[in-house]
Amino acid sequence: MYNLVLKDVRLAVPPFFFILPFLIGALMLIPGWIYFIVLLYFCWITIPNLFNQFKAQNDLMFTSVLPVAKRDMVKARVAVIVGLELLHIVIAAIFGSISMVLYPDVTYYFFPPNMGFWGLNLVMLAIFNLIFIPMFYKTAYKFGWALFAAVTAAMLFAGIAQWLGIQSPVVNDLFYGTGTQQVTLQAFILIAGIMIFAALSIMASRLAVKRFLRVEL
Amino acid sequence: MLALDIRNVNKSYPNFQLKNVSFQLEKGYIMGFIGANGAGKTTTIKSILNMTRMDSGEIHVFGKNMANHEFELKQEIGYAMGGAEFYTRCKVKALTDVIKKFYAHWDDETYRIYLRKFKLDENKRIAELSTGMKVKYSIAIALSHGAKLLILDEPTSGLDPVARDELLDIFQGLVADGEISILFSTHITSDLEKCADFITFIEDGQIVRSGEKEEFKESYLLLNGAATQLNQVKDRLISYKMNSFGFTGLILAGDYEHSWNMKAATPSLEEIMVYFAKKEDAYV
Amino acid sequence: MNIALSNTSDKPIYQQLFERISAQILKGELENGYCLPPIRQAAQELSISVITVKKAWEELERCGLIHTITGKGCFVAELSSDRKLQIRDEMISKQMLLDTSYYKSFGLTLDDVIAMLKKVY
Repeated sequence: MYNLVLKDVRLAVPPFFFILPFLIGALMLIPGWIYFIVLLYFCWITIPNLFNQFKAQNDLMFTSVLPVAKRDMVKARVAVIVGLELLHIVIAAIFGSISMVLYPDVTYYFFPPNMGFWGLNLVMLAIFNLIFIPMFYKTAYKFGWALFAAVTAAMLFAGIAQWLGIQSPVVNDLFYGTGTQQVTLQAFILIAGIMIFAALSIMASRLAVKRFLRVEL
Repeated sequence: MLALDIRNVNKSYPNFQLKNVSFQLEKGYIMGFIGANGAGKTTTIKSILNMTRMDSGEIHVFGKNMANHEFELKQEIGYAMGGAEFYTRCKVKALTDVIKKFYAHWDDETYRIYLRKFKLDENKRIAELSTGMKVKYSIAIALSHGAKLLILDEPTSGLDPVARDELLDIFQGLVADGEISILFSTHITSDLEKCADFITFIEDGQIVRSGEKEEFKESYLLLNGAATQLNQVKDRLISYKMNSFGFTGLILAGDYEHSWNMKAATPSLEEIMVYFAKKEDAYV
Repeated sequence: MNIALSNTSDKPIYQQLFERISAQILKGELENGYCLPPIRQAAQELSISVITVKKAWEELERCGLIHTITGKGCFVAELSSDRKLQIRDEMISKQMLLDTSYYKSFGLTLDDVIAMLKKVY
């Protein structure tokens, strides 16, 4: 499986997509922006381009001839996606903390880039993975509808979360607050986010394996 | 020893079916796998490589069941597809570096030898290689990971006569020491007239016949007769063509009777394929 | 050994190969004990299939022109000149039978054929 990941990194994923997290991450420097968009760019740009790339380079045929198990093909691909997602989040979080230091006095109408917010982002990507990956592996070839459904779900989640963050005083206090109690809760939300992200991504991978085993190449 | 043993493979698709496909390839020989486009060559090959799930049947490679030893056997199988494009913007060197990691018995020395022999430039991009070169590259890869069974799907399609001849010479060189076996699917039968030892003919998802090449050809006869004689033999012919001199038809050698007093000759592979295709048309 | 094969001839290649080699053995160009190249090597050099060579060699052996020593190879058999003549005549008459039917199909008489043969030979 390690070799398959290496194959994707060296052949399938254009180097640009390893630079992109830095470019997009820098958007965190816009004061008080809707930071959800930063990670949505990953779903909007990186994923479709990447999967187009796999398709254009006949990756599926190339890989299925190699001495590898079908199960590992899926696992490796999920590992690559998750890896890229984590790269995006970590870099965005770094830029986010720079942003917080740069503009200490800004009033955040949208979520500030704190730990709680990153927890929400992880949940958003978890939802994206859970929908996109299993749907894609129904054919392991067509990704249009899977992408549409997954992006819609991720955006709905982000939209509702943001709406609650503005409308509901409880949620607002939880995510915008800077007191010790709120920060502790935000840290918990981040940990919960990590757990949800891990759980849903593993689930996505398992469902995808099941479906891919039925796919005729 | 059998390099490849395919037993009663069945597979249904909505509008196509492999029916009881069975054939065997002995180690150290070249088998031509012929049939019209859509007859089931690629589906059969995909079944061998476990890329498609069979409804029933068994495939053994070097005596081991492919279903249970896929990982191990794929190390010993080399696969090349004519006209397939993978990672074309990548340099030969980079692609090899990735591929070799998957194979336990990769041998750099062998790889260097074949690069030189095939005059492959490692610094070229895949897209810059000619069609023939791409096939040679696949073969170099296969041999370097110690493949003993080469499965070549239409390797000569799109090649000019010179490149084709060169490739056929390479194939013959490979089986010369008796260790390597080649299954070679094509619809260009002239490729096989010289180099194939065995022929397997698939038509509409069924194996029509599989056997040693000359015996395969000699099991049919091409009959020439006057139009007036046609009615006498029509029922036994696989199919026939009419022209102003009379008819030409294909018949099983066993169905032919000397008393008919017609000109009978051993057909070429191409003629066999053409007359079988005509039979299909007649039913439509 | 000198072999020229034709891919466009009506005769199967193994038959052509068999005929070329038997002619050379019968004429004495290939001497007793001459070692024929191994099957796979010959196939590669002549760029024909392995089975084709195998069949030709088997045919030669069946006619008693060569014999196989396992592990060593195929050798031209020791044949008395009488036996050689006998084999030659058998092969030639087989061919003549075929040729004769061809002449007959044009309605030539034996005398016509002999006369023409004299002119051409």
